[in-house]
Amino acid sequence: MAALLAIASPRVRTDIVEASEFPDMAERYNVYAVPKIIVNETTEFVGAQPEGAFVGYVAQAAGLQEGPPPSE
Amino acid sequence: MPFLNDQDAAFVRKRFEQELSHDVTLEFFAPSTGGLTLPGQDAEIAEYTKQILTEVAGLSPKIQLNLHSLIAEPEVAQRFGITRTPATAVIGAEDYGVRFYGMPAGYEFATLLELIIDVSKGSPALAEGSKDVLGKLQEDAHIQVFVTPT
Repeated sequence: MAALLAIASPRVRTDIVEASEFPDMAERYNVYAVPKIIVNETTEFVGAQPEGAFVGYVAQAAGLQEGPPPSE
Repeated sequence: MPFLNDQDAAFVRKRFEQELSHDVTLEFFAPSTGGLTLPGQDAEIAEYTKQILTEVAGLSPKIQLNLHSLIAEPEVAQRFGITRTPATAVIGAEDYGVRFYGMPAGYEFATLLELIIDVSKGSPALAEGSKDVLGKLQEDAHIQVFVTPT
């Protein structure tokens, strides 16, 4: 899903990070369960999300208020 | 010993034949790509990652693998925004900003395949509402997805 958003929008870029190989990053972002998603250092969630919810989180992190609510 | 056995290689080759559209370039960055190599686990992981990517690229004429050294080619790494290794930039008709950091083994091998196929297709089938929201973004969004191979 995350990669699809990057492909769909020039404003979005996506890194897939193998947590065990980058323990400093995993520690920095408190990765205790996967998948853990961080958007712009400000928004985070754990686990697979429906498309609308995922886009909502991204919109929220990118300062857009009218995105779908994360709870959708 | 190859990463993919014959059966898995045949499966992946068939998926690529059926699902790849645009050519895909894998820009792989290791600490070093020959000559002077750095000892230790990181170098082993990078070497194994290179082997996986080499085998994957060999399964479709639409996939090209370019090997880079973060140390020897800092300007290329900067162009792709790579600061850590091993890292793979998955490039399709354009650079969509999709990167894989680490070794794509275990479950993450499937993730790599999906990244290659999605980037190759280039036009994700998202809901219209999602496309509308993405089209309205006024700021950039950097998504980091932390995964594990098991």
